Amino acid sequence: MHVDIDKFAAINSPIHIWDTRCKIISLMILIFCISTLKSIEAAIFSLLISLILIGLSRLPYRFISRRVLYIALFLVPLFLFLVLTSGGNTFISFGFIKLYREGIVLSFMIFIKMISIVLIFFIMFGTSSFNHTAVALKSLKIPSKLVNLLLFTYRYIFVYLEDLRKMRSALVLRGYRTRNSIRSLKSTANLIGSLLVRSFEQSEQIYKAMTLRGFNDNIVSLDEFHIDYVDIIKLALAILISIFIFFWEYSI
Amino acid sequence: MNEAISIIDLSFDYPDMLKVLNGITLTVNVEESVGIIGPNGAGKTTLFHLICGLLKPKSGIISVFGKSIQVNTFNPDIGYIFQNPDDQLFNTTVFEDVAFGPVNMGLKKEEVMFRVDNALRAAGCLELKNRPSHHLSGGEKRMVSVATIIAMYPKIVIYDEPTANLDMRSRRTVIDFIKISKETKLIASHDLEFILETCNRVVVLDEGRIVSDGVPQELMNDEKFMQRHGLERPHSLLHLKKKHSH
Repeated sequence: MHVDIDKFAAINSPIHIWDTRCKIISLMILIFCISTLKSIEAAIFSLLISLILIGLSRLPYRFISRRVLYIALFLVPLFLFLVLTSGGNTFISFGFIKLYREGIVLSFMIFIKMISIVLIFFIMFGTSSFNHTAVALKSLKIPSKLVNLLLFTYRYIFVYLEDLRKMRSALVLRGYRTRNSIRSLKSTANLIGSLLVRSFEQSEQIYKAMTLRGFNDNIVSLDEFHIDYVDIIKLALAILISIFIFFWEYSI
Repeated sequence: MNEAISIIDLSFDYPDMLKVLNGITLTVNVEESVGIIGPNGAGKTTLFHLICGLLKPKSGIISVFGKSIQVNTFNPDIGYIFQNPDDQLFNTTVFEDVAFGPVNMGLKKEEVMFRVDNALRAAGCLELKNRPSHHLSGGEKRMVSVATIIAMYPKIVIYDEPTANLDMRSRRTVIDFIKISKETKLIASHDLEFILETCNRVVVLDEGRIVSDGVPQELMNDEKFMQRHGLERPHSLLHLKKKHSH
């Protein structure tokens, strides 16, 4: 699976044409507010805001929904754990297995907040090219090393996924099957170890290639940023929405 | 001045491998196309890394156009095309990759755009300009990695195994490109037919030493010499009379 989040960065939409720096600031504030929410009503409202932003961004729903689904799957064990162990009022019981109301509410809350935040991340990284977003982050004084790390992680994740696939195929062709055995675990550990060594060696090569083309730990870009009054209005609107959500939370 | 690269008594050791290069002396003239051949581990890539300033010599002098090489210092006169294009293509799109060097050279936006288009056109891959680098085929990656270097207008281009893992059509594209390019070229390859087609001089490296330096057709026609150094006489020379001069 290719995870190129900026595949639709060239679409023309009000979110796409928003100055990337303003967009990052606005959306980060919104994410911060959502992460602090404790009431279901406010969380549902924040999800609504996220969906409206997705609609405005014209990112294909299929593209978003598939990726959100993959991420949501990671939360399933957590939900099961919360529903079964949170304690409080019993919602339903099957013999000695009890599902707690508080656990269900908490899981739902976490799910809604997670979906809202993930959707906003998709808007942040999916509506500008990844390189442009990285340059914008750098112009917002995010440390160069961190931005480079983000940029190269994104770039090379495809290469290493492909390497992993090839190495796994090579194992399977020699009779490897995933089993619950020490031998299988050892093979998997060797596979991951080899991938780590390969990635370390390749990172050295890449650094050499970059040095030979004038890189000095500083991303230089042709991208230019222009803020106009529309960008400022959008920024102000996003901050107002964040403040509204924040205070609504405390008024409930 | 006619000398592009001058290497005098160059030696190099890795911490875990001694005498990787041992007393190399070599002069490459401007616009010369020199093939460097030899078995695996002969020191070809190490020699290239030293010329580029990626490694510090143990002893000896390397000069490019009369100036000593500074280690880990950017020198836009030298372009190095890595064996694995994935080491060279690290940006999200082909355009960004090709523009990376010119942008770091501090050129103006118009000049960068001009160079990127020119380099991609020369390498025959202008239509790939807006494609993600990681979604290209092996041959496309190779030509784009060539474009990333020629966009810097280097005077010397070093090719490390440029035909490795390429199909016949991509290999031909690389050969045609190298034949018409005007820069001084150093080319390491195990593809000896390719060396025959693209180089007017060949240097044989074995166990860290230069064991021969001469005209490709003559030098590579010496079957015993080639075998002695882990090489094979190219098939296209089989119709010629065998030579036993080395």
